[in-house]
Amino acid sequence: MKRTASLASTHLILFLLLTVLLANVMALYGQTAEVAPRSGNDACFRCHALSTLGIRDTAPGGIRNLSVAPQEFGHSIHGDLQCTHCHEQGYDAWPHAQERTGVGALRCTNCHQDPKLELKELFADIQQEFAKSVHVQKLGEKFSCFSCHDPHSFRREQEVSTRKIESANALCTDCHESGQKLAAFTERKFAPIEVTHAWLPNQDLHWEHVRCVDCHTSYEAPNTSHNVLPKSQAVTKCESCHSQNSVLLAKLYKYEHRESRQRMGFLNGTLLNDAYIIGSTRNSVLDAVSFALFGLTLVGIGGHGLLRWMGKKKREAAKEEDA
Amino acid sequence: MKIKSVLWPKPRWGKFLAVFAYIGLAGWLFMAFIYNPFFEVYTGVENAPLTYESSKPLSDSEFEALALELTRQRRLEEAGAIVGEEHGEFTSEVRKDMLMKTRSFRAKTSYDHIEYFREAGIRQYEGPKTCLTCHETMKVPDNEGGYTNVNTMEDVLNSIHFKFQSTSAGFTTYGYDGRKVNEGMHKIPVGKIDRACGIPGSFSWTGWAAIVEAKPAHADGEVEMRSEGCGQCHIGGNYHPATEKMMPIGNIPSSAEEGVDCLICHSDNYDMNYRHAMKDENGIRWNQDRTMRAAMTVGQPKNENCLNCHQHNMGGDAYAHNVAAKNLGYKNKRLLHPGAKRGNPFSYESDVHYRAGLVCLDCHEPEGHKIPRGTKGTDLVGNDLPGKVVACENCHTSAPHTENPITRVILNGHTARIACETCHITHLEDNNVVLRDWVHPTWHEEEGIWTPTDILWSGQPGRGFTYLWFNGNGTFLANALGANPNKNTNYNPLQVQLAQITDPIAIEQIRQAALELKKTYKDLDVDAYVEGVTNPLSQLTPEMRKKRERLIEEKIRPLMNMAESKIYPFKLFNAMMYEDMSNQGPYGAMILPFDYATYYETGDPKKAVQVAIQNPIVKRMYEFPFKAYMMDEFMAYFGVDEWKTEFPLKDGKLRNVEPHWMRQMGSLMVNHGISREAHECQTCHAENGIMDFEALGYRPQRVKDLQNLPELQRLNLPKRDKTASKGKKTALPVAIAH
Repeated sequence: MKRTASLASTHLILFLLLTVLLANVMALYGQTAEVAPRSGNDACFRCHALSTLGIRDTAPGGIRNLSVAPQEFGHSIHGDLQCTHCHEQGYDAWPHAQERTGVGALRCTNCHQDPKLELKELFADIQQEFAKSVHVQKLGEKFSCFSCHDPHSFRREQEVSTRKIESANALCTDCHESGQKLAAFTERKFAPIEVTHAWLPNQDLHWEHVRCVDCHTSYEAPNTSHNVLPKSQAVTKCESCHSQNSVLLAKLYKYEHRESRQRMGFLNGTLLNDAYIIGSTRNSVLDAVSFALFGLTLVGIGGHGLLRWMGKKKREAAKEEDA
Repeated sequence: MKIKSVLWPKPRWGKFLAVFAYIGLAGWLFMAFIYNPFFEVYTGVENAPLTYESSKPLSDSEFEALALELTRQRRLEEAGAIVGEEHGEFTSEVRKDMLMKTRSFRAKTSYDHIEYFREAGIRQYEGPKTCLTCHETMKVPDNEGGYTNVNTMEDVLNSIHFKFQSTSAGFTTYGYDGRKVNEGMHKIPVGKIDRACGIPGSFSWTGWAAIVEAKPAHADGEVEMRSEGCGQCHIGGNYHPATEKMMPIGNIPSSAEEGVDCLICHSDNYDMNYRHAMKDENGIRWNQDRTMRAAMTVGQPKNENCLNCHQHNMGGDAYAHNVAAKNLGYKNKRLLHPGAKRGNPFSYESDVHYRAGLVCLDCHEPEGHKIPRGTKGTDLVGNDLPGKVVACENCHTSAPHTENPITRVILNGHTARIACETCHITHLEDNNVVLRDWVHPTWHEEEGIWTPTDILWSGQPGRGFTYLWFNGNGTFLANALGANPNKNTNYNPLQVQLAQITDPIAIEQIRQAALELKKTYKDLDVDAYVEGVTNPLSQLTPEMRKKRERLIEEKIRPLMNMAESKIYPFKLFNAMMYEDMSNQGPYGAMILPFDYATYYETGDPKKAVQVAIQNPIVKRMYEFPFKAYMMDEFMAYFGVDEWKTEFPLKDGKLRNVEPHWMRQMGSLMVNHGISREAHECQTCHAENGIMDFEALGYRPQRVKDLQNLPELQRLNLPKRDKTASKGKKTALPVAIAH
């Protein structure tokens, strides 16, 4: 009896709780049906999704773009984060604080030094190389991670492909080929890349298949391609890459080889990868087979010639007989 | 023997050459003696040598006196602009006088051509011939950063300003059948010369030049002659538009070349009083200012030159600052149109760019005599330079707002969805004509003629103009194409915004106008009249309405969804006209032209149609060669399956001709009359805002959101006055109001 009563009271409490919960949910739902969600990133994207959100910057003709493409952000490696996670103060409502709070001081390493996050060591390495780079040496505070990398669209590169090389090089050419973005950093003007690289044969082929950083960053450990060197120290010798122990294996193809082998197995991964560099890519079995074929061809031609020479005397004798 | 060897030479190459020569000769003979006379008989157009009375020689002393006067006049103007008025009258005069004597000022304020004419002994302006003496060729930028030399006269004759049409691709217009105009194999001449415009006089063969007998109130029953016609704004001075250029072969005769009016665009002192219609033994044509006064002050075109004609379709003839409309003619004064075509003036008073000292050609940057119109447009007007962008962004970038640190970011954000004009044209002129009834003319006391009756004038948003999504293209009858980025099919301007008038003030004004008309037209059914104009789709049969709905989804919807759209303001326009019902489709029927003189003098529009369609070229339209050459194609774009050649006049009576409003309103781009002060946030973002978000295809939840922005409350903007958008009543046109 007692038990039933306690059961009944438990049920009643549960029922009440559920009702309250349901009412809450309904109220919430009703609210969202009334007006668009104004919480979380959606609230930010109400304005920041507009592609033209931005202001004229002091740089001549320059526009500071303040828009973030929601889809691109969603697919980026930071897509699960709340905007306010990085943009902390002054951005909870509009109009935002008039001074740029925090944004100027934002750095990747603000988060990526947290031991709980993976890649902590990699970021430490990058930070160390970046600090040595010619950009930071010359431009100091003006130059940050975000001068090249947009954290709102950043994705982790899984493998090397022509398309990705293009986007990687775009990071450099954005400034080095266009006046506008460059003007935000320096008054210097650069000659067109075709002119400064006039010495390089097959320019287009190189642009398509090699990243700028493959020649222009240091190869010293930790070799994260972030120590951009002065141009005098760039790789300019053909044989640095076009040889069997190409330096590219330590940079561009570091991941490529490992990953394509994982995907396609050792033999196919080696045979079918889309990288072919004169002097560097070599398959010794194919080499041996080619040599053998070449040798056999020589033997064939030689044998044929010998037989012709031997038969010549006989044919001449037969001709004389006819005459 | 010798002659024979010349006519048919022995060597093989000689024979070859001879054959070529004979073909050429035959061609020339054909054109000169067979085609050209046949063309004139066939189309009924006249060509004759053109002379102008105002072209008179000056003596040397007259020339020098005029040179002195013109130079002084210019220097006074420029000195006045530099000195300003803030120093008091006397000091200003002294300062101007000092400047006028200053060597460097004098050097830069003289007219170059006065010196050229003096040296070359030119004492009479004889038309293009005089200009071409030196300017036979001119440099035109090629597309590779260099220049090419072109023949100046050919450059002019092939420009839209001369031809008024184009036979090539490059239109932003799509036929209702879904095809882009002139993109296919069969190209037809279309443009201002023959578009299905809501102003039937624009049919330029019947409305080229007319002299009308007016009986104005002020003349006590005396007859005054007045000029009318589209030729008044044409740089050619012939008896007809460039009809030859409409045909697959043939060219402008040299007599027509003599009629090109270089000075209306190039002179600082062009006197529009010379621009009036005149009659001679060959027909009616437009006179020109060919005085030495105009010729001696030539140079690059200035705003005043363009506005001689173009203020007519921007501010309108009745616009207070329309300079050309103040100089109506030394005789046969030009008739003014009371309602404005677009009601967005370009002038010092009404446009921020004019005040900033910009000239038309800064934005419409020409290449030789070809002037770009821009890459967007709803109306069927030819474009000399189709690819060339004329846009606010060319100068202002996509981040034009710089001043207010709080609002500039979000205002710049708006430019992704909203065109600059949407906020920076807050209203059109009050006399912007929205509805014009050509079928029930009204007697105009002051002018002494019968004029079409304007049923609705308004410069207010929602009434005189509306907001539509626009991707840069339009339909054959000028309906903006575009779509809400959410691709909601509820956005359907051809069935909603352009096919219904729901504004209560507009409806009331229409009813009042109809009641006024009933005083003259006793049989008029006021209710039916109001229904016809506010719901023009009611003029279609149920089957035709079904067909229309189906065709919009099948053929038009894909065009609307093409490319990215923004919200633009569009001036609305509809007209009641006589239509040839044999050639009707779901969007309207072939409009018939009016003969101006008959219309204005008798007030009998049916008779005016009868006279106009007897023009040979209209008759030709209803015959097989024209049907095959262009009319079938033209009507396919129009949404009519086939061009029926039953001539709408039989035994002196109109047959199968009915008065109708077009089945939807036209929507014309407005891009001038830009003001610095724009609409405020809450002008749109409020429950009674001027922008109908729901009709623009936003979903109910989003509409609520857009109408109630919490951010606006944080900005503490004043609440929008509930009556503001609906309260302002526009004065009715004079003809109706009295």
